[in-house]
Amino acid sequence: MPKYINTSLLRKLVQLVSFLFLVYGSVIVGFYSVDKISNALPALSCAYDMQTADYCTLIPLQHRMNHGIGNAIVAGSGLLTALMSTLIILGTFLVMFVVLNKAFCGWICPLGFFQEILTIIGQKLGLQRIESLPEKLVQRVRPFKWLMLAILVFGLPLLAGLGVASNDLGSPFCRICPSRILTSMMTGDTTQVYLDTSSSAYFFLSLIANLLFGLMVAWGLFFRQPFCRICPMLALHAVFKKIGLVRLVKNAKPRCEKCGLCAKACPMDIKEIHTDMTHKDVLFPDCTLCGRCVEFCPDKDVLQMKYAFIPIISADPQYFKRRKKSQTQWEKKTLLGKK
Amino acid sequence: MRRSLFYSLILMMIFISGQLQAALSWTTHIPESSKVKKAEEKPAEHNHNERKKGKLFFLQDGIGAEAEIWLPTLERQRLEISDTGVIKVMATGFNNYHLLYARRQLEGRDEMALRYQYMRGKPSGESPGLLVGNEKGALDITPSPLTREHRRYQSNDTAVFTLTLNKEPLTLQPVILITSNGTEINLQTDNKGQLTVTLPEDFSDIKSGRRKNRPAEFTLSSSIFKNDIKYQTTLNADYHVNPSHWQSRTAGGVTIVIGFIGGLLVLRQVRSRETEHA
Repeated sequence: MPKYINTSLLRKLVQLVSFLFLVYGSVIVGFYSVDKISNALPALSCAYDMQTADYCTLIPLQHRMNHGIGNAIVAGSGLLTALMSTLIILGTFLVMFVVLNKAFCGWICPLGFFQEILTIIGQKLGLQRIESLPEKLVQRVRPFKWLMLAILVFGLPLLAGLGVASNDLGSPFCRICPSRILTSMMTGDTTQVYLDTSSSAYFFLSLIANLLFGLMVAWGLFFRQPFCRICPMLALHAVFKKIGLVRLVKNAKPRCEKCGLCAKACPMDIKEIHTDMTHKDVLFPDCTLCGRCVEFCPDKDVLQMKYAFIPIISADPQYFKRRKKSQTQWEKKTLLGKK
Repeated sequence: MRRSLFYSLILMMIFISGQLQAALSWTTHIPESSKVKKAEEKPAEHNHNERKKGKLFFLQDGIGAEAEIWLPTLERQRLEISDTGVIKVMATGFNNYHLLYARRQLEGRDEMALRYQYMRGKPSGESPGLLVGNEKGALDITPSPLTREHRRYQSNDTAVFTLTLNKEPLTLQPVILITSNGTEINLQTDNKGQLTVTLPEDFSDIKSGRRKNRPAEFTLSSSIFKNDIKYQTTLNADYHVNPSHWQSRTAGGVTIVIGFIGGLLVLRQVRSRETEHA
């Protein structure tokens, strides 16, 4: 690899291409829903974006819970058909997920890319960054992604389909997702920025959506990946991470105990990458497979990102020195002059 | 034989009168005089009984016309027109847009009525682009594009259509837009044959929420003489109340800014506490 290219830069390029393709790619794949690549993408690419190339899997999952399974249970028929269609959606998701595993988060997701750009903007504006969130806070926040998945993606839509909850709660995660606002705004469509007064449920959800988007932008300037930490897609990935072909492997050495650079580099504050000395598989539920831990590991082959059994990125002392130097130089330069 | 002669005489009288008040067109508004009971339509809700009961349509000025439904796969099924002009369209089992197609070809006249109707069923695997792009008749009014699945035509919103005659764009072609709310607007295609329509804001008694407002219909109608034949085509579709009546973009923007400022304040609070502890 040429000296000026590093894994992070490569990842940014992949993210940029993915962002452009997913946000504007209907010119290539086609305009209508059935033209899209999968309708079950393992990343937050939104159907409300009229120019999108594919939809995220959370949309059809909510629809299936609401209109499919919920309605079938109430009607007392068609449950098998509804379950089959849900399994087809999950199956399509898994076919794609197996290829990249959680790297869909770190390399493909448009919302993840946007948050990384916010962090860069914050850093370049000279804003005082929070390198790592306190461990207690990280532990408290972690369950949120599971709650989002269980309640907003599966629970409420199913209850709406059963008639127990209001029909307005048929797709609650889509109603609050920041990617809906972001990707539609990126195409010049401001119709997704609204406060809905038609019902109390829609009002509450639209209020949460707007506040959450504002919070994400504010916090994204100061610390890394604020929304990713509570994203239900991250939780869904975590359920199936064992079957993905991309792995994160640790061959711990005694020096690891005193080091901890991997955890410091991690944008999701996964301390366990450093503290876990027993397991080889260190692909934790919060991991987005960004590869920064591997980049910033100073010991040869201690951390590796593998595709099946083939190492694709391995920790290397020479690379670490170069990478550390370029990171320090990058962080010194701001728009206000050198620090 | 007698029936077709009767229909021909009726049509000749209308033709001689020089003005066709009601062109061949689809509508979901069944006249009261119809013998078939109008189906109870719940305003703007998902009607899951549609598959079993079918949906009723009325073919205005449909005497002598033939009606078909085109599936997303381009398969065509003939539709029976009752004596009163009411047509019951049963679900085809396929998901996505279908085309309700009616045609009447007489000496010196070629009339066509089109309506793209979304139906539920198993995935057809075919893009609506296939249906929209397929040749239907000489004078075609094509949505460019058709509203994407789960999106709708709505008032005070722009929709684009293309008019073609034998696949050639019709430039500066007059088109009439008529809505079921009583609006009538004269329009014209541009020099590329495209018609950009802002659907009128003509709903009365607007309630808050999409499901509480029944959709209205708009019909685009155009006619042209070529080679001693009068071609007339109508395109009919539903349009809904614009959600801007209960969705405020200004308030949405303000709440985003509040979220942003709130986020900064929370961070400031957290930092000052950390400084105190330190």
